[in-house]
Amino acid sequence: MAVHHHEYIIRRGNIFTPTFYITTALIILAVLIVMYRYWMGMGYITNMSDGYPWGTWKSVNVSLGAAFACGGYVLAILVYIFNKYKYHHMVRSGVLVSMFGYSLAGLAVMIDIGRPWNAIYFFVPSNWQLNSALFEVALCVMAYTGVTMLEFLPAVFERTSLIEKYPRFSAFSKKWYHVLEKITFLIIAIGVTLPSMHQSSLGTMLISTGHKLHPLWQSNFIPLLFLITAFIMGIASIILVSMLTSKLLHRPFEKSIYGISKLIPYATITWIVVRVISLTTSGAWGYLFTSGLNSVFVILEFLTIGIPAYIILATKLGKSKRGVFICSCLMIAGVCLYRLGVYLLGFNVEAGWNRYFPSFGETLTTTALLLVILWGYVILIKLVPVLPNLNVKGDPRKD
Amino acid sequence: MKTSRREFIKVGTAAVLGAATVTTVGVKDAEAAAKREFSPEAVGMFYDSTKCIGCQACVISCYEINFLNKESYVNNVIAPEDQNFIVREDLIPKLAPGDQFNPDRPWLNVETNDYRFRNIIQKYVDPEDKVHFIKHQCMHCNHPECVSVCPVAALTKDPVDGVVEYNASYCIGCRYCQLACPFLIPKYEWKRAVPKIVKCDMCKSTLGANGIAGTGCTNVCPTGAVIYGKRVDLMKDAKSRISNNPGKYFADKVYGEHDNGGTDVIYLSAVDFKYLGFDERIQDYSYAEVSEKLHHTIYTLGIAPIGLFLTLAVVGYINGKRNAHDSFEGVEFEDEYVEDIKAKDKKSSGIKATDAKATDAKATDAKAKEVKAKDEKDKGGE
Repeated sequence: MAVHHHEYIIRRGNIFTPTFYITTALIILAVLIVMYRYWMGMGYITNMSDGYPWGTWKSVNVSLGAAFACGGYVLAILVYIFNKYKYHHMVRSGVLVSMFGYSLAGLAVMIDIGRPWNAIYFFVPSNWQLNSALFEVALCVMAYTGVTMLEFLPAVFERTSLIEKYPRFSAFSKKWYHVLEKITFLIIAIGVTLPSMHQSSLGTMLISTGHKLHPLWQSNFIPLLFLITAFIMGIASIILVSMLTSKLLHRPFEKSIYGISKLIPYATITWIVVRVISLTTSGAWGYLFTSGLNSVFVILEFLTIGIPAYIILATKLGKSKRGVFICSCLMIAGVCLYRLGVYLLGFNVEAGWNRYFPSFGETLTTTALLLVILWGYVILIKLVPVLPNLNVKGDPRKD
Repeated sequence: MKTSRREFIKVGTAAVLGAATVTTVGVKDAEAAAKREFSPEAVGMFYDSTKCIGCQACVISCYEINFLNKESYVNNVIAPEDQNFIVREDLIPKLAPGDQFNPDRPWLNVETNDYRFRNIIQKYVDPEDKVHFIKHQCMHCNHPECVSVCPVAALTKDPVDGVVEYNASYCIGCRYCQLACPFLIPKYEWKRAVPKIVKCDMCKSTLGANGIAGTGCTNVCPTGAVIYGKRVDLMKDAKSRISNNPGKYFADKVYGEHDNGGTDVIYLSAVDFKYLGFDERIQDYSYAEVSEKLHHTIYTLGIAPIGLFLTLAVVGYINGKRNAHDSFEGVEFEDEYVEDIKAKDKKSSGIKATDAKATDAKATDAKAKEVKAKDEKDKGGE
């Protein structure tokens, strides 16, 4: 073995695992449902109505999926902006999750909108509608999906440069690997700016619904809260992905997780402070115990986001693998509660339409779209160097 | 590679200060947003609930002009009489019993039929058994939420006559207009492969295109309960009716004068509008004002995003230089430690290490996948 160790390694193994088959089967089933939806119209497979026009495709796939994909965003800030290069080895797996998370969010939008061919008007300046938060979200998500691909390309080039059969392709890969490395700072700058913009605008979108959104959720602080939840979810997704990979693929535990977990209190406490300010300014404290499921969601949300800060700061558990894992799960639950509260539960037109609950077809397609992350992850870690190389004796990254 | 704490703080503080500065600048510039004025030429409709007899001629007329014969009106190819609903009985809209006069519902709520009707008459019976009718259609708000939120400008408000129009050839079908409309007006063709949004355009695309004045509903109304005209004239009319008939109208209020930032369609009624399907929580300003102000505060002239981008690029460039190293290394595969850990895991979980003999890398991997699949089933167990 060389003296110098590679930072990333390819997972050795067969791509066609049971996980692969199960996820692929579900994805194919979802594709069939989606084809039916395109052929017949979405009314035949969804429970959305004129009163509740946004369903799980937007609330789960876009709002939650894009939040879960914020791992790459958080790592980019941490490594390249705050100069914490000791976490550099985690960047690629974070970016991989981001890439798939955002691609599937875009795909979900294309399934959700009724006239997807007209999406071309997003690129026609006379149709630009700068008042619309959705316009900004759409452009940013499309652009950021491209940026995550650029961020991931070096991993691909690292692999393709070794294909000896096609020397010109190999040389091409090597050349572009270096070009991309030179402009990393630009890619990162765009890759941090875009999520900061659209993650907040995902929240701004619901402000124009006015009284239709329950006072516990409606607030001018929604954009800020959405941005902070993006951070929380990003941190949690980095931890979850790393720990599950270590556990399920029988790899050593990555010690850097402890470093990442130190960010948890900052993000969660900021969130709680802003959420308290938001509830105070919109005068919604009176609804805290009187609005049924909405109240339950808000209280649970405070607990699930508050407890991780306590665990990390004040208990011994916070210094253990188990504690960090519990924290990440709680944070994910908390962000899901908040974002679903804003997008689904809190939205109530109170006028005759049946409350929205996802249909079978919607649930299946939504699940399948989320599974695309897992599917892409288990395939690509075996094709290109993504996972951090922990195969180094005495490496501080390894437990 | 290592960064000192001081550097970390320095860079972090710089970034935060930069962001704070651009945000403050942004807030200052966006204070200008003010309430919109009505166009003096704005047209509208005026519905007096006390004059309506509930005959629904307006509903049928609208249905005929904007649904049945829409194509012929738009393209001016067939004489509209050829497909008149009076001649062809099968064209008469069929409503489910109970749906038309359900006082509990502020809108005709037939799931499959919604997109066919651009206006609807509903009935409210007050505690004294008096009957009140109400006509619901697009209010043509002065600062419409639907126009404000539409990402591709498929919905527009005409700056002169104030009509809120829909252009299907731009629409992406995102249904954000439905989500944002406080009056729950836009309807969507859920069960069509090529769906459209359906809403009132004051017959501008049908009658207007054929040079016919007025709207389908106002032209057929037998009692003059709904009339068409310039908004300023209609408002004068409404005010004079209130002053000539003291006590006849609820709270002497012209609905739509200020509601949701003012609307081109205005109403008079003898009962509180909350019983007639207008949500009490609708404010005197448009929610579009709030969201636009906030959105433009964040994005004034793009200062915040561009400033953020430049700050990040500079910081990233400096950090990159500091940590520069040629990281191109070729590829390495993961090897031996997987088996070590697998053995350790098996020992701790009590599974017999019978497969330890497997030396072939592929065989071990197959085993690893089995374990992985099992683990995935009880993921929550960790």
